[in-house]
Amino acid sequence: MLRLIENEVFKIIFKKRLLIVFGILLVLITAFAYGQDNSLNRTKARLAGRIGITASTDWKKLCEQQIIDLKNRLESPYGHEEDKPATRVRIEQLQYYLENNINPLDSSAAKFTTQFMEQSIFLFLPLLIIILAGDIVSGEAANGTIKLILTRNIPRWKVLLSKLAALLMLEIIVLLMAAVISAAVSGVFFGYGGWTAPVATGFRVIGDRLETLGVVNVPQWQYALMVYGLAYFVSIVVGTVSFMISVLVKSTSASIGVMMSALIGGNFLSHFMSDWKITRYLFMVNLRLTDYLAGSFQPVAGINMAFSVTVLSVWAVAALAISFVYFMRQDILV
Amino acid sequence: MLKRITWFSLLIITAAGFVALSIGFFKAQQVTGGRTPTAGKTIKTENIPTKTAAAAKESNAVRIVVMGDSVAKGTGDEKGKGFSGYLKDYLKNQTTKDISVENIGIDGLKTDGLLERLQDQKLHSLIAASDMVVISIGGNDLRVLRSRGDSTKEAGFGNLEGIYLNNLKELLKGVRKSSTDTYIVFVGLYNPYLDAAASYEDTQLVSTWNYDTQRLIEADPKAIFIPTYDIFKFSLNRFIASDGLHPNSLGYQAISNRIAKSVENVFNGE
Amino acid sequence: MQPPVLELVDLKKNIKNKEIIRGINLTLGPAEILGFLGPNGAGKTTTIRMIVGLIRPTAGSVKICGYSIADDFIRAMSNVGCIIESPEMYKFLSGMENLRQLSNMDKRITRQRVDEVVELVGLQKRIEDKVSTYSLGMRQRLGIAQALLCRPKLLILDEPVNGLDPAGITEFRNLIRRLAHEEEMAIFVSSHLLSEAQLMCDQVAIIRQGSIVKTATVKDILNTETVEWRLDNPVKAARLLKEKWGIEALRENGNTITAAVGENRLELINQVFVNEGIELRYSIPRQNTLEDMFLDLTEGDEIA
Repeated sequence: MLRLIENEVFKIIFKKRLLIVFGILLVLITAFAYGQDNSLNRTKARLAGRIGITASTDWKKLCEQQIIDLKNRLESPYGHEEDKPATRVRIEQLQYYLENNINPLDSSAAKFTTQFMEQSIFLFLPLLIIILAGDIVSGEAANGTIKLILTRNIPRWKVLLSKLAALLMLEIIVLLMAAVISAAVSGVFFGYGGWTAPVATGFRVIGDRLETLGVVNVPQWQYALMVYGLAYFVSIVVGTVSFMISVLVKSTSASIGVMMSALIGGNFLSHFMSDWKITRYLFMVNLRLTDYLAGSFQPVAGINMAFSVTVLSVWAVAALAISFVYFMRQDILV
Repeated sequence: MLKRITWFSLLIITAAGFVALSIGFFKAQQVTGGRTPTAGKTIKTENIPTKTAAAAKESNAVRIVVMGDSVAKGTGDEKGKGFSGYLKDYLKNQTTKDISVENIGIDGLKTDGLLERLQDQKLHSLIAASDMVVISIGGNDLRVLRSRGDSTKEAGFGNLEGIYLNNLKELLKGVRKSSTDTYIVFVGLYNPYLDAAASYEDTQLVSTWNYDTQRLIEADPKAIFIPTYDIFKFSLNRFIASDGLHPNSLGYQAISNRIAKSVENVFNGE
Repeated sequence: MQPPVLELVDLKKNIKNKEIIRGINLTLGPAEILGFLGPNGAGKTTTIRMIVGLIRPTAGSVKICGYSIADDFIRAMSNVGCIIESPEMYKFLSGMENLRQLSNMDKRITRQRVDEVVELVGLQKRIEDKVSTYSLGMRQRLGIAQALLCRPKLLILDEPVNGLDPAGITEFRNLIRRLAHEEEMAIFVSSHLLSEAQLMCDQVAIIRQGSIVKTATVKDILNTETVEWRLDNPVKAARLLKEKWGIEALRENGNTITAAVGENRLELINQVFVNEGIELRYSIPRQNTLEDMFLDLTEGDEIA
């Protein structure tokens, strides 16, 4: 079985799919890092212009003052109880910035690496996965080599399983590439540190409200690990769905086209028909898992991490079941 | 051979990656779901009434309630005291009585928000037991206008001020419902944008606002309007915090001084 | 008794309610070379795909060395090497990498075996080049190499000489015969080149509209001889053949008739014709070819 997976992995590598993904990542991350550096500088300049002092030198004062304000708010008996954990967490963060002499406005390689994946998880990452997975089966059908591998003394399910395993492996490689490239490239702009800076997380949706009672600080590296873990889950789901399309469709371009339009169409659909309940069961609208970590979303009753993960898992399992059943029974006529 | 090495390193990398990513995924699940921290919530809410009740019981004290927006709260003061803190310090030197200050200022609060808070039973009893209520409110009501163009400002202003004055009237009524004899101190608006952004019209609007507010406040014999506009007009650089909006420590001290001067005789006389 | 290498029993396939294959029975023993012939659309490729399990039959069974392809796919396919239609390989890999890929899929295939097979098809010089640079003939050779990797007992070749030059064809023919004789491989060749099949195969099966219309050994076909006469009274000649020897003559065009007659009797018949007053222009004994038989059997099908 390992030999079969090795075959599939090398086929994808030799087809230069991985190289394409690498190239896209490199170009995009560089552009992204450059853009962020630029906008950071602009923000600083704007702040400096408004306040009359350079924000970069005066950030400590701002920080100290914010801490005092937040402490006041904590002590006030009339603040909302549930705001308090978030306030405490914010104070911890500001104190960390002060102690470690980090301007909270500045970015860091760690911050950028995390942000990049948070921004990519619902569209860009799935697109990369589609590039990788789109032709994994349909490609063999299109050039006829499927006949070559299905006339070996190996059952069909093993052939398909090895392809799936290869895909899941390479998804990890893609995520690693994304992490390493963004850390390496953004480090040039923002410096290579920031891995221990505290990041707030632990938001929960209860009813239709964002619950902040459980908010805690975790170090940036841990937060990044969580973000990438979620990204891998998303990759698995998008991967298996496009894997299914790849099994069902005979041409690579059709397979990639179907997945891309599903993805982009789904994003549109959720945007324009957000009050239509059925859209929440589409896999494309549940991809923004990292928003739950950051608490950066408009809460809707009944939609939380557990809901999205369940919906996505159901999609993945269904896609796998369809792929295997169809592939086992299919007459190869090409 | 090279292929073998590539393959095995790929295997090891992906195996390690898989473990790490899985840990990350499950950690993320843990953080966003699971345990519900209700225990902490109940404990904390119990703390507050005892504290306020204790404050209410002390009879040999001057009890001041500061409420309203971020200026009431003291946002922007790098020493974290706000005018309520300086006021307390000042009055302490003036009288032998205990001075207690309850600051319940909230960033971004508007008159309708404060009205809502006034329904609160705890606040009601706090005011009932107070000797003086200091209110700073309205800045955020007026700030809505800043995002508009000059042409619509004039039209919007009348409407906005109408709502504001109405709310203010209700507010005064609410405070008086809790306590008929507490002193009400209202801190007027200053204009933080004087230096560059403010136009002549803006200055006019703030003056109108303050004037109408003052007329309303002074209608109550035990209420006083403290202007702050004049403190800041020529001293913006000295008194405004680096956020460009709130007073800094010096600014708050100046406000506090004014309030103290206006009311010190009231408490000394007792 | 050893089971036959390939056994098809009443094999049927319907696609969209249309009968594509209507009951094929076939047996192939070790060291036999079978030519599977038929016009386009007769069902050659569908049958081959059913043999190697790419298509599941509607009814009937395929057994390879006694193992059913439906129930015991792995053991059945362990004995098969095949090229289906054209020899598609991964163009982005080299010939060697292609073979390595396939040898990875079967534990029995050693590195040594891979080199052996490459030498057998004469691709040593170009084996490290990318397949995309190969000519059709070279791809064909690589296809055969791939099919031979697992030392199959049954070799299935679909149009194997396509794209080979005449020298290549001869070489290939010799290779096939050698494999059959030395390694006792049963070889199933589909082809549309009848002359090739005649030279290569021991037996032929002719398929037409989804059923086998004739199976025969090539030797039998070649042994059937016919004679063609051109004479002034073909009706009388035919009657004489029928009366005296019981031979059915075929009236061709005009004054020509043909009949299946051995060369040994030709002299006597001609004597009788002359005695009966028939003016004989010529008589030619002619050896039958596969092509004649094929055209007889599939008349009218080919033109589509």
